[in-house]
Amino acid sequence: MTKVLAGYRVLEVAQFTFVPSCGGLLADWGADVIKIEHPVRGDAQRGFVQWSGKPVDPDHNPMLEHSNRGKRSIGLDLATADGQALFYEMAASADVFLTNMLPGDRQKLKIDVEHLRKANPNIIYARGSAYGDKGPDRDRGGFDVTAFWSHGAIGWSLTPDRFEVPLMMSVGGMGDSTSGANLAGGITGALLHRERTGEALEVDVSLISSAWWSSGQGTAMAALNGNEFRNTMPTPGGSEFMPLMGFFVTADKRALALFLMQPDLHCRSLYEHLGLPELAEDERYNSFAAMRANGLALSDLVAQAVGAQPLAFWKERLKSFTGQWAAVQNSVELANDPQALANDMMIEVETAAADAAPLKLVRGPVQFNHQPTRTTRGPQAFEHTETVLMELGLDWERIESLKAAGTIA
Amino acid sequence: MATKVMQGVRILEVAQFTFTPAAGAILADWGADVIKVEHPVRGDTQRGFLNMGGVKLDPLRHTLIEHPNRGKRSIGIDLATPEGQEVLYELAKTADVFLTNYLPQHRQKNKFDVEHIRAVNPDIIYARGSALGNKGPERHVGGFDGSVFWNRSGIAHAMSPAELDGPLSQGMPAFGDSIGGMFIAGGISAALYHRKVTGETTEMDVSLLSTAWWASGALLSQVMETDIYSPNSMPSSGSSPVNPFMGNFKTSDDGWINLLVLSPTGLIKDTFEHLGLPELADDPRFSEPLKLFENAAIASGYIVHAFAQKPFEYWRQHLKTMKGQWAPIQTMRELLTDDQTVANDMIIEVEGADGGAPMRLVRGPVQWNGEPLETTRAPQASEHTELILMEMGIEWDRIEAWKAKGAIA
Repeated sequence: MTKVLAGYRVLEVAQFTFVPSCGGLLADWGADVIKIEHPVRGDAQRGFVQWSGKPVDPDHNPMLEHSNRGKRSIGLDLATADGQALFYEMAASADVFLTNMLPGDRQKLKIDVEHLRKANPNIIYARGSAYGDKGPDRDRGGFDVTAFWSHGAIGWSLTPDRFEVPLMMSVGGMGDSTSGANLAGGITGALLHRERTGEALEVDVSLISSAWWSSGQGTAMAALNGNEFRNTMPTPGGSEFMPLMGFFVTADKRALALFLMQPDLHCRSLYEHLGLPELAEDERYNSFAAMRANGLALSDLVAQAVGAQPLAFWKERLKSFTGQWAAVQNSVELANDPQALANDMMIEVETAAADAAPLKLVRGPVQFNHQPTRTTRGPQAFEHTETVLMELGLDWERIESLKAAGTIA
Repeated sequence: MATKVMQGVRILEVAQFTFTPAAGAILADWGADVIKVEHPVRGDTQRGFLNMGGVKLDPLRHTLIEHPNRGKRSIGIDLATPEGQEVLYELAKTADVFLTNYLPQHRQKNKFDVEHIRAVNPDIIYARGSALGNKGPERHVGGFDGSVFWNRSGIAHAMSPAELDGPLSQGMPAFGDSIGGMFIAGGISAALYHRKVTGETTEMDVSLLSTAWWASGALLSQVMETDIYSPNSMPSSGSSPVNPFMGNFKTSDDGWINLLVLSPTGLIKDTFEHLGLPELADDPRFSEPLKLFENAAIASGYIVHAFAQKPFEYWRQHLKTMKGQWAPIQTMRELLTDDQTVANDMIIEVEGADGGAPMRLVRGPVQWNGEPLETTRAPQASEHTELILMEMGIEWDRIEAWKAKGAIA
């Protein structure tokens, strides 16, 4: 089992999903990730124990596990001088410090880059923020729905122009998980750089820098010609000019996406698979130039054929089709997609809940040597305080006195 | 001069379209010497896409090529010929990473699969971008982000309200590709680091499907655990029926502001003051969170009215000191002039290949030491063939002979 970050230690002072999901990925890759939590409150995300109006077992909580699997947790009050002293001792043996605390809080808690570098000049200092570490809004926090989706122009671009208001970001945590993986990539770049040159860097990724990169091709177009992107209202079938690109409705009212950008290459195969082989000989439909003159008629013929069978039929039938297509799946179907499972995209972890079945989580997007990463459940709040501190060489008396003072938990 | 964390690393890229080339572009931004191998006649297929939503593109100012290919050099090699393969192997001997999105059957046919490349360079990191992963029954099937990342992944289904006539389309070009490209770049950094530290090389995989799984991971983990899943609702204006400090509000000039004050506790006075409704903070109907929720519909009326009194730009500036979460719902065009994105260096200018005005592109999401990364425009197809071969010490006679055979261009 290749653990590309085995032997490296990451200290995380972060909450919610974006930056913790970065720590979760680094733990997947083998790093020893120590999550520092407030000794009373813990990560604020631990307080979210509802999903679609139903209670979630805090010991069996996918929202928390997704971004915190594989870590250890220590309860430490960074607002106290003793807590800070202990924190600097921990930082002395760490390779990476990972945080999403705002600049004001980093200064107040004395965990900003100048404080950390005093304790460990070689530590890589990684910040995840909402709006970047420069500029007038660097002190503002944000969630992915505000910074990535709304401010980052993604919600507006994805919403059809007929609507006055944008759609909600219904894939929860999408901006957070994307930005978390971006930050993990930046940190490994910084580790490589330190290994080769001895120089420790600061790393920044923000929710808006991730939105910019994700929409970069469209944004570069907008910068070039001033056209802003808006989605169009979904309509079934292809368009007049691209009759073989679009969503076609199946007999069970599901959607099949056909995506023939180069129809000359694939229309014959499509017609055969749809049970319309005669169209391949029909001069109105067997070349891209001709089909554009008869676009709507062709789209109707294809719509009729697709509409005669359910989606499950087309999923099997189109497997040998040479062009691009996809069933529009829902999240439940994706969670059972054989191709996704064959590529190890799901991982099971045992949770702290008694008698519960293993919890299914999503693996990170990168695989090394075809080996599925392994991990364990996320820590309970402060689960590893004593272990971590004893590893660090603290004696039991000091641990006891810190506990009594409420500095650790 | 910005820190180049990949200085001295050579990437050999045999890839087309956006997803995998975007990884090469990020690594070039980070300082790697990225050599893009293109077909000597056709070049990267994406060079042929000269029409985008009815907008004609100039091949010398081609954002679809620039976004995923800036900063590289290009060499024209016909990999279907034995001579071309010989040139590729010579290049592979000098490279740290081989990056490809060719399908397994093509890698085998043209002899640049992992065993062929490792035969000439056992230490090379072999990185694959694919549609559906390098395992499973569909490993040999290709796909675009519009088909796999968006539709098959459940994202289209989750984003599309059931009331619509069909699923939304991805709407933004290369959204899934750009996200996935950055994931590949992160994986490659970790693999380089692992090789540096242990001497061990790895193969690496990222797919459009694994990219979508990770981006939706917070939701998918929830779905796998609870089986509760509800697609998006139709966009609405005004407050949520429960919490008047959440919702989308229209400004006097038809712009939109998103309020996301999840928990109004302690924020009621500050929020009402910023909305120009200070008197409501003392109104017994709204002064406590529970009362505020009970009277959400009445409060919504006031807030909708308040937002309608002032233009978008007023609110975009005025709310910056508000403590609760909010965001302007920006268009791509507004994003281009956003103070915060400009201050965080998200736009980079490169010279156009036509020698005209600089072109604006999007920087990658990661920043080191607060320094904006520099890069150059994308190469023209086969622009650096002779230069690269001469750097490798290949004599002119041999270059001429390969050229005459059409193995290089």
